[in-house]
Amino acid sequence: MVQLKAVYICKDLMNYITKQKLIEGQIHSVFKNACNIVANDKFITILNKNKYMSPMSLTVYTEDETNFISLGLKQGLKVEIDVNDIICPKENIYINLQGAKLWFSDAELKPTALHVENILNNLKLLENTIKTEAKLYGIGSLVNILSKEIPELNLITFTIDYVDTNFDFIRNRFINFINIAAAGNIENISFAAEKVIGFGTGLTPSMDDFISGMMVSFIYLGDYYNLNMKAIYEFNKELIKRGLNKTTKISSEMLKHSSIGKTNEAVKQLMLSILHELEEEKIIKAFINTINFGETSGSDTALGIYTGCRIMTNLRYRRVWLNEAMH
Amino acid sequence: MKLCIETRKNTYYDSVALMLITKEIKKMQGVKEVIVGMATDLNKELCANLNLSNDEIKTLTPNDFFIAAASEEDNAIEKIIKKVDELLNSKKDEGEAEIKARTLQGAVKQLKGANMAVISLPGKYAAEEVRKAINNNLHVMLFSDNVTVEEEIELKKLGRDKGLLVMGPDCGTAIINGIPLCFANVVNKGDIGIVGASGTGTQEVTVIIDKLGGGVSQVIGTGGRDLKSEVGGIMMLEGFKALIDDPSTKVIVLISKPPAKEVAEKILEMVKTTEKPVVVNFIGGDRNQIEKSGAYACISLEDAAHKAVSLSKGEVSEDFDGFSIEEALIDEIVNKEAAKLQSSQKYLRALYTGGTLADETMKLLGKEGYNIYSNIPLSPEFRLKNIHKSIEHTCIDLGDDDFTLGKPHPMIDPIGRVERLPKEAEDDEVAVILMDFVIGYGSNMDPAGEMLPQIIEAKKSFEDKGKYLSVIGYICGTEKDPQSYIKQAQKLKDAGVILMPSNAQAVRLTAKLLNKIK
Repeated sequence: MVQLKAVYICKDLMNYITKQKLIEGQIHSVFKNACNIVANDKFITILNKNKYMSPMSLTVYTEDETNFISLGLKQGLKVEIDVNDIICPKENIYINLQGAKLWFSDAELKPTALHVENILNNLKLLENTIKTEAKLYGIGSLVNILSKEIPELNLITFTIDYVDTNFDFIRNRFINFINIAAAGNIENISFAAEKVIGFGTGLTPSMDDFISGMMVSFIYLGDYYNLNMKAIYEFNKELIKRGLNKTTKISSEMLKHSSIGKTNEAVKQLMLSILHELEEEKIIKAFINTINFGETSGSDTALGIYTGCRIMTNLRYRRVWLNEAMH
Repeated sequence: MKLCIETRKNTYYDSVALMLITKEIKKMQGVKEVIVGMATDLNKELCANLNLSNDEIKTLTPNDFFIAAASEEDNAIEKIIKKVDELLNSKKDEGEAEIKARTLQGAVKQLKGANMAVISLPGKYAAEEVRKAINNNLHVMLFSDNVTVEEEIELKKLGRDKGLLVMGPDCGTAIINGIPLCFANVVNKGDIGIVGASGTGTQEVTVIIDKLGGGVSQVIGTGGRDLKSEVGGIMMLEGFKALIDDPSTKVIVLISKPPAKEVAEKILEMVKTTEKPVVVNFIGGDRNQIEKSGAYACISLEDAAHKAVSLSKGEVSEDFDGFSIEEALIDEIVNKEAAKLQSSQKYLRALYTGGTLADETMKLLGKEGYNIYSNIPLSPEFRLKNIHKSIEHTCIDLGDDDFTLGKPHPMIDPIGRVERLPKEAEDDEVAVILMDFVIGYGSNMDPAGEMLPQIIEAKKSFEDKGKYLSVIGYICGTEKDPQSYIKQAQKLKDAGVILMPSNAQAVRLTAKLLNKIK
């Protein structure tokens, strides 16, 4: 019998398990450091203890680093989940949930002592770090064209070793999407998003990671500027609604979580450092932690955060989200 | 230019793998263009734009994986598939040190000549695997609990009829041909063979045999229910027979909680069939009945070890009911501890991870006139109404089903006791905390360390109230165990725990202290 112990569990996941009492699910996909389970249309992720928590996930501890593939977990195997444990009877694997600490995926929206100038400085720092550290062969080629196409956004241009001309077919759709997103055009956002969601390599295609980062930054910056949060959440909801079935199941779940500000811990820490941190070293560390996700996923998400922050820090675009009382 | 398409429905690879595959295929001779990814609408559109699509790709869903390549070579697709699988397999192999069998049949094939299976999985799935093992002519050690008694009887009869041991269900310890299985300690090899129906009871005897300079030939477990009427002691009898026939066993020790009357009779009847000396510890069982059969009866697990070691040397020892150190020193410890306690402090809270050790504790204290409340009481009137709340003198077996259903045993994960101790420390009338620390294979790698913060905190909370909390402990293990007896002992001593060399002695010290503060 393989016994694993959950170290952290997402509060939303625990609530769901508690409510359902007994859940029967199936393993959706297995990687060295993660195992995804589909149960009643929910997506549950078991992560190695050295990975950052993400929405509806839990991390597990073993003496040695857990390798989910070598444990024998396979796609399609049945699992049973209750408040005490997750059992994979076929492979005799048992994850004890008792005593796992709760982790909250929600956006950590809290007052900050930082002035707008500080935040803009932090974005400058982010720009410099993107230039030197980010993996730009995911969504990078597309983001790079925005500085020329939409100069009002005040985005940087960076040097890319390899420009993927295969992206040409989506170039105009992407520019259109960003224009509509920046304008807060709720009537057209779902149509524009539908045309770009699902683009790129990976289980979470690069475009989806980018959009995820952008939606999260709308929420954090919206709270910072005391904007109409209800409208922002509504906008994000609208943004993803037509695209969810255009992408992978994993990505679709990620988009749903991000649209309400639920993210993995690395992204949360990056957002908090942008809004609360004055120490350069800490901001860079949070950025590096984010871009270390997957192959280009982390960098694509960080580019989305950066773009979203530039939209929100620009009064021209931000105006659309002002609370009615502030008009 | 040839179009090469490979698709895999509902297949997922991480982005690092996808990027690696893309890079490597691009490097292959003749490959001009390649797209590797999940078949989202846009990725399919990209394929179409690059003339890398066909009808197969068009039918894919976002949850399907595909490789689409254009190559100048004729048999490029075979080479690409081979390359992809090589890359994916090399990634899978990272960190895999050994091939693990996924089924019993696989394990049998992989390990030719194996004659024993250790089975440990949730009880409701265990019986079927045991049946398979027996049908493969394997002896079985069944660690799982929550197997029905009907299944236990059926499996044990099946094993017996094939001349195989079925140790368990709920068999926690065994040492077969010098190999410790499940919860077991590293002890000397020797000529004492043991059949035990109680896990920690058996561990206690093996550990003390080792400390006394003796050693064990075989340690056979039976599972706790074996000596009940329904099961009829099938495996105690089979194990006993095996030790009688074993040329390397000179002395036989049988350990169990008091068996059903008719089962005890059958076992003791078998004592008469062997020349080998037999030590019987039916913890709290009928001494006269045991001695009538010609076996040596014991007053504690420690006493069983003493008698077995003596008999192995050709000597006969008296009952061991004292201490390993001078009584005067014991009295000094008792006086010092008692002096620090206040008159309002009078109760014991014993928190055990080993069930048989808890049972022995209650029996030894019972002889001293103490009534002990418990989740496994000696008589029903002392059953705790709420097992999570101690009253007066309480002894808890944290390894009992009450606490372990769906959870690891507290010898593996002591969280139950870690959480319980602070609750006991809230009761101002508590004077003594008594705890066991079972080390060895299978146990937590640092049971002392796991409890240390709570022990220190409990003592401090009493100090803050101007009181004192006496903590007495016992480590069941040897220096050869992976956790190291000495290191565990040092941690506990540093935290002010009084350590005794056996459970029986820890209980006797506790009784002396409780008598003193009465």
